[in-house]
Amino acid sequence: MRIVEACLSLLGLLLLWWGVSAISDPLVLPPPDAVFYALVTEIGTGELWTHLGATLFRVVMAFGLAWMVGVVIGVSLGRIKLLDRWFWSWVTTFLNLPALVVIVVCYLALGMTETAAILAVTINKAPLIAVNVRDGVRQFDPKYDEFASNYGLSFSQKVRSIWIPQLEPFLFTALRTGLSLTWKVILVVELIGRSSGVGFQIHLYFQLFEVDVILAYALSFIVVMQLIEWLCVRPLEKYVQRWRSDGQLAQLQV
Amino acid sequence: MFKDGVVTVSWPNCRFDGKEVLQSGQLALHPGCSVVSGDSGIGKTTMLRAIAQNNSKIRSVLVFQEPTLLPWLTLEENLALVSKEHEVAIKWLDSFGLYNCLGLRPGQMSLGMQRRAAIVRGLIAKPDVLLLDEPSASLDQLNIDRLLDCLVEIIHSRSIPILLVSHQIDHFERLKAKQFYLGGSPAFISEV
Repeated sequence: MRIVEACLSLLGLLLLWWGVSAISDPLVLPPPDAVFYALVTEIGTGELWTHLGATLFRVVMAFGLAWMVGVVIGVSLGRIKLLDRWFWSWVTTFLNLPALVVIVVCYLALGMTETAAILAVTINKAPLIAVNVRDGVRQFDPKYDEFASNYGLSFSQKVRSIWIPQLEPFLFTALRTGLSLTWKVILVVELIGRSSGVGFQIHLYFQLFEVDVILAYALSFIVVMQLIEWLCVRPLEKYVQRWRSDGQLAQLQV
Repeated sequence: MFKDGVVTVSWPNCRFDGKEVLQSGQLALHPGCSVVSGDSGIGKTTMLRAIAQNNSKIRSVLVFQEPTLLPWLTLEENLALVSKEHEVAIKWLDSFGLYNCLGLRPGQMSLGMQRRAAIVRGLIAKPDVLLLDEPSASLDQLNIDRLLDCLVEIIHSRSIPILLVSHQIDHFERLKAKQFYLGGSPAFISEV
């Protein structure tokens, strides 16, 4: 039922796009069929896969690194008050640093390289993950820490069996918001200093004033991100959080 | 401290917000059950926590009032976390009537089952002394009887002292336990 509603809603958006494009300049806002035609053309030449793949690679690399760095920082600040007092302001500083500034500084420091591109996005997105994880760590239930201490659980047991399960909702929030923001920043990185990727193609077709191809590339990446959400993130989330629905059965008395 | 099967546990003065709530003390616990009673909020749980933290040479395991089984793990995984001796765990689960719950998560079990499962987890951690915090709280009579059956089983098959605190001492008359009372301000322990 939810899928039907979502499809109907998207169909409504498509109709709205059609309506608005009908009354505006088709060069500025081409209709959906023109964008679809541009998409098929790009697929036919193989260009779309090449650039989509390049962007996806950067998203995975940059977000993976940001994720690892952010989780380590978030857990450290959440668990160790001294570190939190000293370094929380650093995290908020980097959180508010404009992505464009980080990108430009990284390109100036390391040259127009792949490393600079990925590092810039990592620096820009790691604080967001760190903030989410730190909040999650601060909401750990102390009774599980007391249990772990009393029963002499090892550090790895604590991390695996007590910390990560409590962090799951925050990790998924960080995953969703982080991924959606990462690919947008990647487009800027590609637009400024790369010769491949969706951002580069958007820049190219902007100069040629071919809005239909620009929208085709944007749409294709939105579809990829939606596929990641529906085929990977949601099933994983449903699986690891299946215990949360147990509460309804806990009312039963034996 | 151990001597002839007797475990002596002690605890320091305990303060909350600068106010002393519990006087230091010690108890010589014989194998079998000892019960500490006292009014709600007098400091019984504080005393158990202080014993668990203060006696580093003794392996004291505290079974919390709220069963702290990890809700995201099955009972089997919860037990495996504290002991790799699967056979011992199975034996105790069987004795406690929980064998069929091995694959269930705590949220799929009743409170009574969770309490008994938490005691099994405490037992398989091989304690020198088992500390039980209000084990009968919020249980109906049927579940209290089952719990007492389990405690009798432990007393008969394991020669370890069990120290339990409860403000409903009448629940544990069947155990013929040595009785202590915690009262006063700051609270101090005395034998009944």
